[in-house]
Amino acid sequence: MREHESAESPLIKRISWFILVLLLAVVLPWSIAAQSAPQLRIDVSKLGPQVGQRVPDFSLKDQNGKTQTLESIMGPKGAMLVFIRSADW
Amino acid sequence: MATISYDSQDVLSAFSREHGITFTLLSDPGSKAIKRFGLLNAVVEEALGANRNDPAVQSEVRTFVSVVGVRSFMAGIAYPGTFILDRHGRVKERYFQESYIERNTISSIMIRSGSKSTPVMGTKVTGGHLEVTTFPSDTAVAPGNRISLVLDVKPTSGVHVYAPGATSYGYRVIKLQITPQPYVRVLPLRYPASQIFYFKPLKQRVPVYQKPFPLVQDVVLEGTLPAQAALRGKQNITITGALEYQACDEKICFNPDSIPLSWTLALRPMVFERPIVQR
Repeated sequence: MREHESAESPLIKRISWFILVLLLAVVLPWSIAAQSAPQLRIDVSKLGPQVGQRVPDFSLKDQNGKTQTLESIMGPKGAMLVFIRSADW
Repeated sequence: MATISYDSQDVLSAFSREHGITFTLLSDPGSKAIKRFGLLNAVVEEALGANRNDPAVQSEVRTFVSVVGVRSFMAGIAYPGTFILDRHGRVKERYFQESYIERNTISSIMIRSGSKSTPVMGTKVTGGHLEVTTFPSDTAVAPGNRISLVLDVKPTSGVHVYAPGATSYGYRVIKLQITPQPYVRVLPLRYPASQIFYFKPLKQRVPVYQKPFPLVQDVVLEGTLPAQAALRGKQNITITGALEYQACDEKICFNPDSIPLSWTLALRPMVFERPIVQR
């Protein structure tokens, strides 16, 4: 019975070989690329909302103590939102 | 326009008073909004943690945090960058630089997004077969600023100059040659879309500019410590260059020409003083 089974499954064998080769073809170059990637792990262009995406809403105090939201900082054409590190140092 | 930082309202209030700032400065103590935007500077956290002595982390600190190293009060800062949003809060454009110390000035971003209004007066220069009006995006620059030099080029009627892609036909593409100088990094010149000129005798379809067109040259005044030291105390900086081109009409090509150009920008010192608040 066992012999019969194994003799009957060349197709399965072939498929599993195919999957193995596919995995090697996909994963191997990827892992090599990951190894040879530049030292810096941060790509600033990928951080935060991307072009076309809506930014999260917020509710923050401004320098005068007034609460501002995404809606309240909007001008007629939109807004420019600048992330700065600090005004303190 | 608004800025977001992790500073307290007191700091922002003092800072805007001391520097005469009228636009909105938003205070995000605890960095909640910064985190929701996905912009919390993780390098600071890592450099303050167990991996502080890892050379890779230290190198990231110099690029993303500070050339003088990391300090505990820096925890919570954002990666600096600018978003241009439409009326519905969707990102139209975004500007983030690799090095934390390099930033596009607001005026250079305005120019890139197609704003025609500029507070800076243009200088008109006439060369053979074309006229150039040029102006910098900013009249004053600080180390780390990335600014734009704009050249509005107007070919004389019936004349064209060559656009990128014309080199393969043997023509000289109009280009801006900036004189190299220390601490000024020159980025690739930005060309607008060109038109196709059909040159009958040779049956060539060549990319050209016939109508007035803008060329935009971005330059970075480096913000490294040696650059800061070398520029300290100087009143201004002059960038020189030449616009090189060959103009042709439908029959003949004129001699290659070169228009010397220069831009003098006031040097704005960096602000090192902390805002005065009760601490």
